[in-house]
Amino acid sequence: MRRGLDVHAQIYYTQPPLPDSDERSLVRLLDDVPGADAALQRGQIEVLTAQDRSAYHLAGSGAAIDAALQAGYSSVRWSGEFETALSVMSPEEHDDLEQVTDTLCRASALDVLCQYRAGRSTSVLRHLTDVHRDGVRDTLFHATPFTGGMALAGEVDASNSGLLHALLAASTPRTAPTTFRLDLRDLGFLDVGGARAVLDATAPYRAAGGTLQLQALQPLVERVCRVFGVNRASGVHMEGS
Amino acid sequence: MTDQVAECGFSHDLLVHDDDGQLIAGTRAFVAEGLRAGGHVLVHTTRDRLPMLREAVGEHPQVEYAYDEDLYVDPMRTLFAYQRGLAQGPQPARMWVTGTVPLVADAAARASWARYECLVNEALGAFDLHALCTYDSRTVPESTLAAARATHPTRAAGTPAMRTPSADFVEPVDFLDHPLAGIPDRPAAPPTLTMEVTHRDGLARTRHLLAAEARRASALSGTAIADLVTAVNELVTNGLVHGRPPVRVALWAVPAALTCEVTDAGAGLDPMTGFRHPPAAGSRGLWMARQLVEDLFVGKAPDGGTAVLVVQR
Repeated sequence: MRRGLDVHAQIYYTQPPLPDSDERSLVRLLDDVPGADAALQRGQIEVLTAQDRSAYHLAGSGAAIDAALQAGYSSVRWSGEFETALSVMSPEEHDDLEQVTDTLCRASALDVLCQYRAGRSTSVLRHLTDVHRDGVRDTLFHATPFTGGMALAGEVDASNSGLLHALLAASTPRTAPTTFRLDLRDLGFLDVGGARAVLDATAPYRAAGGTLQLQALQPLVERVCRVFGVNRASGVHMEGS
Repeated sequence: MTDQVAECGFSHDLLVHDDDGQLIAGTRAFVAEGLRAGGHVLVHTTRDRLPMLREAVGEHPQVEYAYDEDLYVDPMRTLFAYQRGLAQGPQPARMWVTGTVPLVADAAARASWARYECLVNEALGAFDLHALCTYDSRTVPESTLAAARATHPTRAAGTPAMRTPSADFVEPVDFLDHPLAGIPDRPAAPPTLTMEVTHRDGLARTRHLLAAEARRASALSGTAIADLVTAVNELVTNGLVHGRPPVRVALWAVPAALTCEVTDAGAGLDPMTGFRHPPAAGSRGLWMARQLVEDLFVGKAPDGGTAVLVVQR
């Protein structure tokens, strides 16, 4: 939301029918965001109540993007929780919507953040990573896939190393067993569990002949990886080692 | 009499000598044993005594000489440097090392080297390493000799036995409880910062606050602070996952040192956790933490839970 205000975007948020006083309502969620109240008043931030599917056809549509651009906004930003969508459509319909939205994001001034509760299986994460080509994030870190690899930004600790494991396990098998690059320039912290996750998640890939290439490690992350022996595991190449 | 140790295995002998003659004889015998076993031998001592020892023992392609000041800087870093070298080098290691730990004036520093000797048995016991530690009774205080007797499983015995079990040996976990081990108490002064962590989602905030306070209140390098924060993160994670939340973190910051205590009300932690290699699942965090800080002590909190004290300089 803050980013949307910074870049002068038209912002949509889909939520279930809730009174403004409910702590899950957007109005309450934005309590501490400067300028949010005014943005809501003038319609720059618009709450779409998910009473039926039409809420989902409005925000992620070419027409909405055109209208926003005409009105002088830079782009459209849209967010909402997966569970909200499930209240008005089936998982299959939602999946179709995700695919269409992802394509639209590639082609036009649309930025979408789909919020999922944590604890997904590897197969679900694999699918989610496919559909959200700009990456997957949680509060503490952000994984962005690219051809032949993935960039990690933020911090990995016990709160999210499971997610890292699932993402790496989901991403590595599909690359031809040559090299999978892990760009770590923006990773500021990695604990032992995270180093463990990097090795465990890529073990099948490496056993099948793949090479995991760790690049641009920050000094602290490099120290942890060296002490833990990540650089000496088979099929791992760590820059600088 | 047969040798007390097979060619492959671990031994950690003590030789207390009253003169240079005994030192030379003991060192020569040890070096000869190592060469017979096909090992690589390292002889280290102080800068001023190395020439004497080198001349007495002689040159050999499998014998290396080194200065204490290069190898023995901080006890725990030295310990884990040996462990790393043994773990990453050719297997079996066939490493033979002889020398003495630094002679230091400060009681706390002496105790830290006594703990080093004690923990050699724990951290390096699984490797094909043979060590002969030589202590000069003319220059070493009696308390240091007492600690040496308690921390070495065997005494150098000269040929043909080479070594005999030492009746004075105390199991590592018991030695750490002994006054000679000199394990510090938590600082008496009030902590600079205290935090409570109840959930893994709180780890990041804990790290950031700890780092900020450490930077503000001490003169330690960015690297030393980052390493301390990483170590404390592992301890807090352990407390959340294996212990019992809430996990309490207390920091004492003075310009030259950072002390951090991590406590939880869980069942308690084996004081030997995190020394062995490879670390068992569940010990990896502590094993990592021990290598990132100057020292780390696992003890009991007053209420019976776990209290881990960490020191960083």
